[in-house]
Amino acid sequence: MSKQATPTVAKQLVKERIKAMSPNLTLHIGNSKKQEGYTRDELIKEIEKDSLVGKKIIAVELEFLQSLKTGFLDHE
Amino acid sequence: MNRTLLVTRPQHDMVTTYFYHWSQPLIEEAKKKKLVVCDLKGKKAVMGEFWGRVKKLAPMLIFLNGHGSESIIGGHNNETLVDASTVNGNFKGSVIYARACSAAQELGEKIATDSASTFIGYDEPFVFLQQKEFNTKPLRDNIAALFMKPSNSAVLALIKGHCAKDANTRSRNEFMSTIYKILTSEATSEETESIPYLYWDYKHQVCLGKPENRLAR
Repeated sequence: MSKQATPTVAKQLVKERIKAMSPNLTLHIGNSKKQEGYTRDELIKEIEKDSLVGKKIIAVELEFLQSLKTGFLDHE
Repeated sequence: MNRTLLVTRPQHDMVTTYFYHWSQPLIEEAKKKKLVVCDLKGKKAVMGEFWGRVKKLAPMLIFLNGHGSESIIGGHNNETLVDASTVNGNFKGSVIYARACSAAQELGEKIATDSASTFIGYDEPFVFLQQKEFNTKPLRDNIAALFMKPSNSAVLALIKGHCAKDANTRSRNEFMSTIYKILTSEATSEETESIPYLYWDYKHQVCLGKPENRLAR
């Protein structure tokens, strides 16, 4: 079994996680030009179009998921 | 070097508005501790004003809020406030905390190797969540608070006289303790959804340069 999720699997996984996000929340990430931040639906679109913001969201989520595997709560 | 805190806090979009308001409690705390506070807020957060105050006051603590990139931190309307190419020995042993994206990568490294100064900041984008209904009342946003309080605690520790290394550790520990609290209490779904982003800020907050630098007593 592969040790790392393929980009396609990772993208789908993160999209599913973002779909569960509260519509009441806005995410501010990076030096983005979008001054009002990103809603859940806008984040999903960014992931789908492989934008810099979309790629960064995937990086944020994967870093956290990988930390769970290594037991970050026990070791940090 | 003196007991001066120089703050830059532009306020021209949602991110800078949140940073602006969440900087206010730190300014009040610094005044309580009898620090001289130079507050470059809103339209005053521009390069000319900033370097003028740095050269005149030689502040021991500098707290920058704004949009950032690897080599730049912005001020009012995202105009360049500090650029890695213009640092050139102008910070004389200061401790700089930057609530901005990615600036630790190049600007922070330059400051750290320049004039025995210290840079605490982020080597990746600083991320945070906010609730839409608090756009005009950032201090009442309990989701944004999950991010702002740990980042504020670095500056708070510096104001209280802790060294840069301790301030960074306290701040990072607060990010982690916030995650623990969410995981071990009856958290809302919004709080639980914040965890990956809190972890990201925790992982990417770094302290570069002289770890022992602190406010003079």
